[in-house]
Parts: sequence; structure tokens; C-alpha cells
Amino acid sequence: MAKHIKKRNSSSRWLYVGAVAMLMLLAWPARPAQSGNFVFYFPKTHSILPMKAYQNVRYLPALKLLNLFGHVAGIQAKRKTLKVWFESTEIRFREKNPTVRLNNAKLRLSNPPQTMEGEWMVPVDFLTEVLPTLINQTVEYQKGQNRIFIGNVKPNSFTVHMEPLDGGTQLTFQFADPISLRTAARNSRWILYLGSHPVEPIQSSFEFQNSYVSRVQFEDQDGHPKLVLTPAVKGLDFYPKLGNENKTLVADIMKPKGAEARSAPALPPPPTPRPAPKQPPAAAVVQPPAPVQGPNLSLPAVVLDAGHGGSDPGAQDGKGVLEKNLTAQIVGTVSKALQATGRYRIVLTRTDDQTVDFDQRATEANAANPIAFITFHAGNLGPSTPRVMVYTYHPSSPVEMASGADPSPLFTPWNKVQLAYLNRSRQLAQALQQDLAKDTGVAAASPMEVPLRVLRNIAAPAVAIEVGSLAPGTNPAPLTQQSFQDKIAAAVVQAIENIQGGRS
Amino acid sequence: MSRRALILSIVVAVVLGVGIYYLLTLRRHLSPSNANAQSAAQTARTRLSEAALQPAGGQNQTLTLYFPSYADGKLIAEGRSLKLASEDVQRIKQVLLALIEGSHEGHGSTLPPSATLRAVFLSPDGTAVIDLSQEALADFTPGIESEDLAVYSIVDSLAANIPAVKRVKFLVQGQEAQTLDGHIDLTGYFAPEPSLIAQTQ
Repeated sequence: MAKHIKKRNSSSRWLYVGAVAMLMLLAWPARPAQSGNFVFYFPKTHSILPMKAYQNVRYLPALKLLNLFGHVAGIQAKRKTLKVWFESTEIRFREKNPTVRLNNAKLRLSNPPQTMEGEWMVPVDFLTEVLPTLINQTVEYQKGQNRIFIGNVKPNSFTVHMEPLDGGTQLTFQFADPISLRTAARNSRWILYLGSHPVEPIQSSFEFQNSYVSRVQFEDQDGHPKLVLTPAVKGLDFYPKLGNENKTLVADIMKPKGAEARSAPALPPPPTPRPAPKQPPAAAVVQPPAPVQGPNLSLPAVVLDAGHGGSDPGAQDGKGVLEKNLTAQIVGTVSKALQATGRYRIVLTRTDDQTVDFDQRATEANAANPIAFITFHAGNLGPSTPRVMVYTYHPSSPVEMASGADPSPLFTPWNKVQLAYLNRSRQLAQALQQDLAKDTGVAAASPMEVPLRVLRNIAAPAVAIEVGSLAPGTNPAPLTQQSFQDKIAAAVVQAIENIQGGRS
Repeated sequence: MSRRALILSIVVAVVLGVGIYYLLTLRRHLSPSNANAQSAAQTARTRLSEAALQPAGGQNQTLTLYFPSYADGKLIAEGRSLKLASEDVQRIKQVLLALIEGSHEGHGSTLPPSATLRAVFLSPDGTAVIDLSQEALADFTPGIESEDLAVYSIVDSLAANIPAVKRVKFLVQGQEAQTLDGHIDLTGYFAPEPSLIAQTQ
């Protein structure tokens, strides 16, 4: 009998353990995780504290934090409370209570202090809610950032501008204050150390869609401000240089120009930064710091946009002619013709068979501040071929038009950017249509106004040229002929010259 | 088995049961089966077609439909005799299905015959919301002119036949689409564009 009872007890014990284990698993608490560093910039130095993230809130160690700003005269820690005598103030924290007492004053944090692994931690908003009343110094902190500026520290800032070059691309970082520059390469990335002065970036990460650089990231987790450039492919050359009283950092990322120029020093597998001319060995000095055959930035820019690309083939004839290839071919011809004049800088929104979305095209185009944006398409234009149509933008709804025509808007909404340029776009379209009719003899009557997505966000005179017909059952041969494309190129050059010359 | 053990085993069974049920519902949420989605679409399509093709009482009326003419980039009017439904939403469906059916006079087509309407709504402010299926676009012949004419063929045909329709909003697969097929901006509302209609001599 006794044995029987014992057996029953043991089985129920296992059930009990199982149930408790399951309940524990269900109610397993979130655990804090290491979450990078927080950097404190003081007028002459900087300090770093490790952060912990708990339920998406960043926490800093309370005592280490206070030690950075003054003298902690004593502490009294109990299981749920912590008293700190900091300078002349008695600070009281209570676990899981967002109210912090300073002497008799109460200040409220967005999240309660926590003890994590035996250490009292305060949420990051302690820096803005409590710290300014504890210290007699100005505190400059931008919400969400992992850096704070204490006292009379004026952080530097910068803007980034990208410009395509012949066989490369050029990144220009315009700083508000002078910087110093030191370069390094690590894990196939280029690192540009910007000196000891703190930097507060307006945006800390920039993504690019081109074949040279894919990402630029600002980092200062170790207290040293730096830019980390991730090249899009391996084997590119990198030429950073400082100019404009050390306020402008220009970085050219180029395809290697013939291996023979640098055959002596073996090229390391990761891209090697080549700092400004005078620094290292003779071989590097031979390399021109600036692109020799780069475009003249003082020339007016013309943006040529080859429609579709990458995973989006566009229209097709059903026998292998794809719109994306045809538009790239036409853009190549037009680009050569414009370049031959020597009067324009050509900016291409895609240089390869790549997927580029509408906003990326607009960003690339607007950054160049062009005198004209021309997008090329091919599609169904009816049975008579070849035909060319010219289009300008027209919003789908008249309501949009009315609000977009506000004569002095403070900010132009992104989706109404083109409205401010409609008149000049129409002038360009008119000029194009006339020149196309003259040169190709196939243009349609007059330019059409359509709600064309790719033109919507262009901050410049912008038109679309569509050639046709490219559709199943039509013969695309006339569209692929070089003579036809040369005529289009000649008409584009003529039209651009006309609008530049002031003709409407 | 003692009473305590019995209670515990019941608790464990309940917790297990709830857990398994929760996981199953989670899985269903994450990956709704294709078969379900397809059959739902099929049902919706059938229901829509049935609703639109139901003969309404009364006499035949003549609809004005606008079909694209690619040669001159205009919309050409074409009459179509139909028994029109009394409700505006049903009329919108009838006009759309008549457009999908295509021109009887050899003009260009608005949407391919494979196009299906997933849903149609008409809001009190006169906005007709038209939800097209993704398949409709797969067979579409893309191009700036062809897309522009397709969109305004629908908008102008609806405005001409249903006075309550003031503007049209297009959805694709129930969601706002950037473009119809790479060109025409579908994020806005489309007001009728009478200037695209060819003047008859």
C-alpha cells in the first residue's frame, strides 16, 4: 500500500514539474541585451557608456552615468530602491517606478529604472528629463541618437551629394566646419576618420543604387566620428581628398583604369583607400587624385532616364525585343550626341540592366539639378510604325492641380514637385515635338499631358519620349535601327539647345 | 491517480491544447493557403459577373462607351444597348464588363479579356473605387499612351453613363498600386478628361 502511494506521488511530481516548466516558459521575461555604446561629448573629451536594450528601450548604467558629470558622495542601495548623493542633490530611484525624486522634487521618466544583472539602469530619456536639472551645463541631444553633447560643444554636420563620373562616381560631403582626414580599409569597406571634433549627422545612413557604392554610414560608437563606405563591387579604386578649407570631402570611386599603371604594387583583394596625393609612396602619387576625364561640374546637367530595367522588362514584341533594352540603347545614342556638343553634363538614372524605382530615379535626377529630364519608353502606339510621342506630366485629379499651383508654398510636397515646372516642361516638349517632326518625320501631332508616374517627382523641366509600336504582333525593326535612334538624338540635342537659347 | 494529479494533468492538457491551437492559428495567419485565396477570388469573380449580368427590368438603354484609338491617341465613342440596372454600383459593373468585353466596331481594347473585377464601390462623395485583378495587368499591352487611354476610357465611360461618378480610384488586388503597368500614376484619383474624346464629325 505504502509503495503504491509512493509511486503515485512520484508521477504527480513529474506532472507538477512539467506544468511549472510550461508556465515558466510562457511567462519567460524579456531579457536585456547589449545594445552598442552611448557617446558623451564634452568640450575637450568624450566618454563612452555601454547601453542595454530592454523591451525596445535603451538603458544606461545610472552610477557610471552620474560619475561622468560630478562627484557621487554616497549610495544606499536596497532591494527596490537606490539613493544617490550626487554633489548637493539626493537622488532617489525606485525600481519599476518611472518617478525619480531629486531632493523633494519629482521628475518623471518615460520608463521606470530597472536593475539588470545587479546594476541600476536608467532609460536614455534620463539625459533630457533629469540630467539638465542636476548639472549647470547645456545638454544637446537629438531624440533616438546614441550621442549627446554636453556644455559648449557645437557638433559638426554634413550633407552628401552624389555625382556620376565617367567610369565611376563622386561622393561630395560638405561639412559645416573643417575636418581632418585619415583613411583605412577594413572588411572590404573604406573608413574615413573625420578627426576628433564631434559630428551630429542629419542622416546617419545613406543607401545608393549604383554600381560603385552601395552604402555610406556615419559611425561614432567608439567616440571617433567616421564615415564607412561600402563599395557595390570589389576591385574599385578610391580617391578621397579634402578641399575648400578642409570643409569639403570629395571621394571618387572609380573602376581601375588599366592595371599597368599600378602593376608594381600588387593590388590587395579589398579596395584600398588612396589618400590625398602627397602622403604615401611614389606609386600612389602617380595616381591623379581627381578624375582626369571626369565631367565638368560647371556644365548644365541633362538627365536621361532609360525606362524600366532589371526585373521590369516593360513592353515587348513577343520575339525578344524588350522595352528595357531598347530604351537603354536609345539613351546611349542620345547621351553620346549630347556629350559630343561639349556643352552638357549627362546624368543617367541607370547605367546597367538594373531595377531602379521611381523615387530612386527622381532622387538621382533632382540631385543633379538638371536643365532637363528626359525619360525614354517604347510601347503600343498603334499600327503605323515608327512613331514618336512626347508627353509632359499632368496630375490625374484637378484638385491636386489647384493646391499644387499655390504661388508661394513653404514646402513643396514630394508628389507635387513637377507642378512647379509644368510650363517649362511644356516648352521643352513643344521644342522636342517640333524637332522630332522635322528630323524623323514621324512625330505625332502635339505633346500629350498624362499622369505619368516617373515625371511626378522631378524638380526640373521633364518630358517623356515614347517610341512605337513595341507590342506583340508589331515589327520593332524600325525602332532598333541606328538611323532612327540617331534622328531622335539629333532632335533631343536641338530641343535642348533651343530651350537653353531661350526659345519657347 | 490522486485527485491532485488528475487536476494537474487536466491543467497540463488544457495548456497544451491552447498552445497547439494558438500555434495552428498563427500558422494559418502567416501563410494562408493558396487554394483558399484562389477559390475566394474565383467566388468573388463569379458573384460580380452574376450581379452585373443579371437582366434588370425595363427597357434597353444605350450606353456610351469610350474605346482607345491608338492611331490618334484619342477615345472613340461607341453605343451599346443594354438593360441597365437601377443601382449605380451595378451600373458601374455593367459599364466595366462591357468595356472588358471590347469594342464591337474594331477599336482598341481598354482592358484585356482576361481582366477581372474584384470589387466595385461607390462612395457618397462620388468616388468610384475599382479593384482590378493582378491577372488583368499580366495581359495588358504596356505603354504610356495605351495606359493613359485605358485609364481614361474607364473614367470617361463611367462619368458619361453614371452621373453620380465624379472621380475614380483604381486598386490592384485590393491595394493601391503605383502604376497600372509601369507608367500611369494610380496613386491619385482620376477625374473625367473630356479632352481625350475624339470629336465626331
